[in-house]
Amino acid sequence: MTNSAPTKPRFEWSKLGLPLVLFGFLSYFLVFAKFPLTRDFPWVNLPIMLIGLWMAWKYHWRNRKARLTRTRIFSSLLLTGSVLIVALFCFYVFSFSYQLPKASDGLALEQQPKAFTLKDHQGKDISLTDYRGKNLIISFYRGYW
Amino acid sequence: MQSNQTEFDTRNTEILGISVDTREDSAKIATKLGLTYPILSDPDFQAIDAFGVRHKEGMMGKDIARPAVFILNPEGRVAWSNLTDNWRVRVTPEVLIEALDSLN
Repeated sequence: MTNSAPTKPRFEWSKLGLPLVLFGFLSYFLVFAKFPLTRDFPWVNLPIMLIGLWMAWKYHWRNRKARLTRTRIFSSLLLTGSVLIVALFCFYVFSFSYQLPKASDGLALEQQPKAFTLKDHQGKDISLTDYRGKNLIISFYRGYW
Repeated sequence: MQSNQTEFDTRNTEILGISVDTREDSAKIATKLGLTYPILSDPDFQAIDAFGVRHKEGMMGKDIARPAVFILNPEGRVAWSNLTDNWRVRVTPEVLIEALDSLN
C-alpha cells in the first residue's frame, strides 16, 4: 500500500455487531433460558441481537465502498454472519420449538392411565398405585440435558 | 418446583418427573437441581405411552417425551393437564398450586 501519512483510524464500534449477535444468541441458552420470563419470550436476547444486527449493517454500509477489497468483504461477512445467526434464533424460538405432537394425543380428563412400574433415579420401583389417596403431579420432560 | 415443596405437601400432593433418560442421567439431574422427588427413567415408553405424550423423533431422530404435566386425583384419574404447544414454555409451580386449589 502506498498510503501517505497513515493516520490511525478510529476504532469502529459497529465492527462488534457480529460478536454482540453471537453473545445474544449464546446467552439465551447459557443464562436466560433458566428463567421463565426470559425463556418464554426472549425479552433480553432478541433486543441484544437486533442491536448487534443493526451495528453489523451500519458497519457494512459504511464500508461498502471501502478502498480495500478486504474491508468490503470483511464487512459483508460480518453482516451475513449476523443475519444468519438472528435467522437461526428466530427459527428456533418462533417455529422449531412449536414442533410438537397434537395435544389431543394426551390422556384426556377423567381418564385413568394404564398401569406401569418404573425405576426412579435411586433404583426404587415406583407405580402409580403407590399414590392412591393423594394428588400426584406428573411432569414429563424431554430429557437429554 | 422443588422450592414450593411445602406448598405441595400441605395440598396432599406428590410429584414425579419422567423422561427417557437413563437412571444415571436422571440421578445426575436430581443431584444437580437438588430434587427430592423421584425421577423415573422410562426408556421403553411405558409411562410416556400410557399418557399419550410420545414425541416421535423429537430429539435428533430419537423418540422422547413431549413436555407435559398431569395432575392425577386421589382416585388416580386425570384431573388437570397442560400439554404446552411450545417446548420452551413450561408450566410454573404457581400455576400448579392454583390448579390444585381449584380441584378441591
